[in-house]
Amino acid sequence: MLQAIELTKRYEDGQLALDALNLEIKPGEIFFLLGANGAGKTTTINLFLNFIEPTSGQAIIDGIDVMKDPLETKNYISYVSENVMLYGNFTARQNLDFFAKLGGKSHLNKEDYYTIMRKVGLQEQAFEKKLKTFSKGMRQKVGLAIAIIKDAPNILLDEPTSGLDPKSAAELMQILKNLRNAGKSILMCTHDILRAKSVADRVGIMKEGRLVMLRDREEFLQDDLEQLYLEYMQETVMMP
Amino acid sequence: MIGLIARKDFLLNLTSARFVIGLAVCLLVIPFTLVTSVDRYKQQINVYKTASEKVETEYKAAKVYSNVRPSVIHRPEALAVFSEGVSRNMGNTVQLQYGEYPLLLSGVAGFSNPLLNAFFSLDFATVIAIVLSLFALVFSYDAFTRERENNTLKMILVNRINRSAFFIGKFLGILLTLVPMLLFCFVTGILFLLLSPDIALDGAMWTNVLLLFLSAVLYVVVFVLFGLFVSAMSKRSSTSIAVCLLCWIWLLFLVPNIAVWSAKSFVKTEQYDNMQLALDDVEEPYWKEREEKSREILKMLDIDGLSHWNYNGGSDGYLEFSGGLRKALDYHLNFSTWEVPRLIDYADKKWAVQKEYLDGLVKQERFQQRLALLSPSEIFGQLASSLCYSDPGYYLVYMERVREYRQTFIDYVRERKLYESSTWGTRMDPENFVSDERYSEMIQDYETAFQQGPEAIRQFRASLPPGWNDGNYGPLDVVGFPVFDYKPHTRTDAYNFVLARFALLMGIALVLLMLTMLRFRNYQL
Repeated sequence: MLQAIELTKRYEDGQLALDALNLEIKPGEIFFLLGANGAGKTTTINLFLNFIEPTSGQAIIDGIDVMKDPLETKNYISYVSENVMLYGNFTARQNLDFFAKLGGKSHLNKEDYYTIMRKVGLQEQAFEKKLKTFSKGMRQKVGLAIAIIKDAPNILLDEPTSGLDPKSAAELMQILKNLRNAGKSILMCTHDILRAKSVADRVGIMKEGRLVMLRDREEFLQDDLEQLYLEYMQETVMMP
Repeated sequence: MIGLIARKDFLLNLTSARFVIGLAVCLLVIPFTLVTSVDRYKQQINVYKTASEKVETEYKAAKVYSNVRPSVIHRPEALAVFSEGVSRNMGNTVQLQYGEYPLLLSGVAGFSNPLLNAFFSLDFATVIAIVLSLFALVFSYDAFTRERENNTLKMILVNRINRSAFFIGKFLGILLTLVPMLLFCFVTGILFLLLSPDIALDGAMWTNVLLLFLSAVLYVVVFVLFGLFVSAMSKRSSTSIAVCLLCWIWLLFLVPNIAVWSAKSFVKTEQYDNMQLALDDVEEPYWKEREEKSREILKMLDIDGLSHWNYNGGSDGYLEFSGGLRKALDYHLNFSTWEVPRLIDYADKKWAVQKEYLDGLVKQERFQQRLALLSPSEIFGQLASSLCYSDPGYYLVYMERVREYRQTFIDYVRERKLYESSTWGTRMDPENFVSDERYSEMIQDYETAFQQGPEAIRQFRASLPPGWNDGNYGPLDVVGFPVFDYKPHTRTDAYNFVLARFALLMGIALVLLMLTMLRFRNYQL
C-alpha cells in the first residue's frame, strides 16, 4: 500500500512542486495520477522512491516511512520509467537477469526469464536479441518485465505509454490489470485519459503541486473525465 | 551488489566500441613504441661497447702513470626502454682529470644520425600516460550521466542498493576493463625485453617493472576517479566529455609545459659559458704559479731550456718522455711533484663554482618537478623515470659516484706519491739520461748521420742508450688501480622519491574517491 501524508516538496529555487499531498493506494488498486507537465506527478513518484527528500510530510510504503528506512522500502516497490532505454548491448534476457539479481532474485533461470517475457507479450525471437535493436514498445515491455520479476507489492509507473503505439499501449494496460488482480498497488502518472478511463480504479488530477480532483471509477465515468481534465488544464493555461 | 554492478559494467564495456578502439590503439602503439625504444637501446649499447673498448684499450696501454687516466663510460640502462626520462639529454662519457671535477656526462648517447634526434618519439611510459589516461576518462566520463540519461540509474536505485555501493561497483567495472588493457601493454613490453638478446634485467630491475605496473594501475585509478567525479558533477554526458577532455589536455600537455616555462622564468640559472669563464678566473693564478714554479726549477737546476729525445705533454699533468738530458728528468720530477697536488687543490676551488652552477640547475629542475606535480601524468612520469633509472636524480647520483671514484683514484695516486716518481713521465732508467756535454755530442752525431743517409741514422739510433727510442717498453700494470662500479638499485633516495610520488597519487585518488562519493550521494536523478 502506498500512502502520502501531507507530502510536500519545495525545491531549492523556491518552487513548490508538491503541496501537502494526501493519498492512499490500496492493494489491488490502479491509481492514475493525471496532470500537465510540472504538475508534481513525477515529484510524487520520486518522493516514494526516495530519489528526493520531502520538505515535509511522509511517504509510506507498506507501513514503512520512506525517509526513515529508505533501503527497506525498496524491497516493496517496483518502477517503470517513461522511456525505458536499459542496456543496449545486453540482450533482453541479460537485462532482465541483471535487474532481477539487483532486486534480490538471484535464483532464477533462463526459463523463468522467458516466462516473464512471454507474460508481458514480448516475442520469443526477441528474448536473446540485443536491446539496441528493440522498438520503444518492446523496451517498455522489458521494463515492465523487470518491474514484474521483482514481485514487489507496489508498482510505480511514470508515463509508461508515452510514445507507444496503440496496440502496445493496450497490451501494457492488460498487463496492469493482471497485476492489479494479483493484488498489487499501482500508481501510474500519465497524460493518457483514455487509458485511465479503461483501467483506472481511481484517478487524481494534479495542478501546481496540488491534488485538485479525486474520483473513483464510477464517479469519473459519470462525470466525463476528458471534460474535467480539459477544464483543469484550461485553467492552468489561463493562469498568468 | 557491488560485484553485480561491476560485472555488468565490465561486460558492457567489453562489448563497446570504445573498448575495441582502445585495444586496437594499444595493439598498434605499444609494439611500435617498444620497437623504437629497443632499437634505440641497441644503438646506445653499441656506442657504449665501442667506447668502452676504446677507453679500456687506451687505459691498459698507458706506459707512464700520468697517462693512467680512466674514463667512465655510462652504460645505458635497459629499463630506460620503458621510460627514457632525461637520458636523451645526457652524454655517456666522463674522463677523470686531476684539475677538474666532472660535472655531467658528455659525448653522444646513441644516435649515429643527429638529424633523427629531432624527430618526435614517445616512450612506453609516455604512451601509457597518454593513452590509458584518455581511455580511463572515455570509460568513466558518462558513468553516471549515461545511466541518468537512459533512466537506468533510477531503475537500479529503486532496488536495495545504496549509492556508495553503486559508485564502487561502477568504479570497479571500469577498472576491470582497463587493467587488462594495461596488462596487455606490460606483457607486450616484457615480451619485447625477453626476446631482445641485448637486454638483460636483474632481480631489482624486475621488481621495478612490477612497481611500474602498480604505479600505472594507480595512475589509471586516478583518471577513472576523475572521470567519475566529473560525471557526478554533470547532468549530461556531452558536458562531462567536454570537461574531461579539456582537463585531460590541461593536465597532460599544458601543466608540464607551464612547469618548464615557469622554472625557466622564475628560477634563473647561470649560463654554461659564464660558468666556464668563472672557472678560468679561478684557474688564472694557477697558470701564473705554474710559470713561476717552472722558472724556479729551471733556475735551481741551472738550465736554460728542456731537451728531450721524445716528448708528449699537455695540461692536467699529462707527460710522457724518453731520452734527453738528465736535468730534464730532474725538472719533471720536481715539477710533477708540485703540479699534481696543485691541480687537485685548484680542482677543489673550481668545484665551488661548478657546484654553484650545478645547484642552480638542480634548483631549477626541482622547481619544475614540484610544479609538475599538479598533473598526475607528470607524477607518473617522474615515478616511471625514477624506476627506470632515467630521472635527473639518477644522473645526479651517478655523477656523485663518478666524483667519489675520482677522489678514490686520486687518493690512490697520492698515497703512493706516483707523481713524485720518474715513472710518472718515463719508463727509462734515470741513469740512462745524459749530461749536457754528452747530449751536445749526441746532437752533433745525429746531424752528421742525417747528412750521411738512412743507414747512418739507423746505426746512430742503435747506438742510443736503452729506452731512448719511443716504444721500447710495454704498458704499465694497472691492476691495482681503483675501478668504477655503480649499481643503480643501491640508491635509497630513489625509493624515497618513488614512495613519495606513489603516496601522492594515492592521496589524489583518495580525495577524488571521497569527493565523488559525496557528490554522487546528492546526484540529481
